[in-house]
Amino acid sequence: MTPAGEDPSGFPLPPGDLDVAGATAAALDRAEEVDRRIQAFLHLDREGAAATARRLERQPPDARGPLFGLPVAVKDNIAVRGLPSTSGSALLGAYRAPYDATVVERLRCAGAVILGTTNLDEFGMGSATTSGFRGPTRNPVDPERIVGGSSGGPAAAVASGAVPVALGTDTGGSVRLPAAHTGIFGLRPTYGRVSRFGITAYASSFDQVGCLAAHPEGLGRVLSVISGADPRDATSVDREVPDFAAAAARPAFPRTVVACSDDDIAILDSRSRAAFHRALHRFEAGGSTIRRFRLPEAVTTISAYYVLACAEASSNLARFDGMRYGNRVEGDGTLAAAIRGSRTAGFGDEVRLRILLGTTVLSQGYRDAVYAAATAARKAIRDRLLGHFEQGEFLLIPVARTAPRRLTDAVAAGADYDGDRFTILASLAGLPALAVPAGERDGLPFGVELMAPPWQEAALLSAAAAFTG
Amino acid sequence: MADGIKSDEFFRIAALASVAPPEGETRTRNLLAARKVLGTYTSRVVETARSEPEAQPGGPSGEDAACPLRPDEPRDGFPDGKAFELAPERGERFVQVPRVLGGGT
Repeated sequence: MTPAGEDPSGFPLPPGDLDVAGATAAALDRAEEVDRRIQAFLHLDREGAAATARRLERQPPDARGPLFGLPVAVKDNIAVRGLPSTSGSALLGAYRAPYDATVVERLRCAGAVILGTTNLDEFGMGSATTSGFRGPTRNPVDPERIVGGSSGGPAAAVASGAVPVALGTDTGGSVRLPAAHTGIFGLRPTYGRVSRFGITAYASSFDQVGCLAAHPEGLGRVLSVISGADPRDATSVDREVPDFAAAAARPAFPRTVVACSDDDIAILDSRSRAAFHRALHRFEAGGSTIRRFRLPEAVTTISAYYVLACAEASSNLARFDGMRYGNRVEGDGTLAAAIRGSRTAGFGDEVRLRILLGTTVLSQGYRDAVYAAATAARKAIRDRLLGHFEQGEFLLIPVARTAPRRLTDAVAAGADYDGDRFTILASLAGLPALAVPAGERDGLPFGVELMAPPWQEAALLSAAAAFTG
Repeated sequence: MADGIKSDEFFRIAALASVAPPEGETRTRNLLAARKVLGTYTSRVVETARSEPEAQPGGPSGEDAACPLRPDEPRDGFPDGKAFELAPERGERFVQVPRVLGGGT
């Protein structure tokens, strides 16, 4: 591929006589090479990608889609027809998707080339990409450290230069956290912006498909393609899809940014606090006025999120029983033993814990007090966050509570739940949120998160482009 | 609404969820996570070691079995950290946790 065929996002422009087959082969070689060090991919689809590239090359120029020739990596809980779709679980180790998810279908129609599927925490339940049955993905910035999760595979694939853009899923921060840990952009769209048909459900009132890229324009191009109503997902919303790439190409600092208070970032280490303050100064230097707000109480936020997410997970994962889905363990020959054996052998520790938590809060005696209380807390948090937009266009918070830890570091029980303290806010409120690289602390990437009112992804991309431009 | 969640009760849920209850260190970690998540919503959270079935053969032993919540455990996420301070030697069975948003038990 010639340099002239690349845009700033690093992928081919639609017109021109590009060597798609050659570019795809080069991208596959690159992915294979970086994968030996970091294990971003679970499955590289050499044959399928090459076949797609050959088909694209036969397309007349006027039939080419907006993502013509773009190599894309897809998180392994998003169905890609014919490819293994394991969700990082041993229970689904032998499962192949019989159809494309809507987002994959739309990528293909736009001319993208699916290179393969990428690693994740089992069923998206984690913040490190260490719990998948094939082992951890390493951080391309420092391979001795975690990459963040659960979309660690997509983030590592982008940050290592294997692909210019990848799809992940974001339930409580799973796109934004690994983006921040690897120094790239990660977008969680407004709930309902993108179809979830073909996504292995974890917590349906939170799950969203998100994008990861090295540049806002790359995010915008892909988001424009995958957005929009889908009759196969009743939660997808029928509203106009803006040209997000055009928005990203028009950098504009917001008039006012509402940043969380110094009390809220007191839990960060001093160098992270300094990095956050540098981000505030950068907005001010761009002409933005900074106002401050207090985040909802951490204990309320974390409990509400995990009560609701686990309740939904226990319901969604009931289908993985070795009968309808998943590898079967026969046990003593009874149906109950086979189901119990299949689920016990197939699920990892964290998934079993969340199923237990979810089953507890939905059981008689706890449902009204725990589940209903968490639902009320969620509404209060959403109302409070929406109220802060009266002071400014965006809310600004850190993405991660800590720098990416070493893979060998021991983790106290529940410590990763605390790590989600910032990202779960947008998840609870259904808001669009964008992780934006904001420099380094101790040589490791530091990211901030911009939250916007519903459906304001274009403004987010424009602000992020100005901030990092 | 029950006024607390005992660990044996929590792990009996495993039968409803069609998974085997966790054992050993995983069991202790499960309890800690359950307290972190559910503690906000229950006025009295979880048991003492003496009623804790994980002290039985097959479960954790020694200090873990006797007091899964030790003072040096991480306290982040709880309002004042006191939620973790059990005194099983005095027969304390529950941890008092402030209610939030009026939606608890």
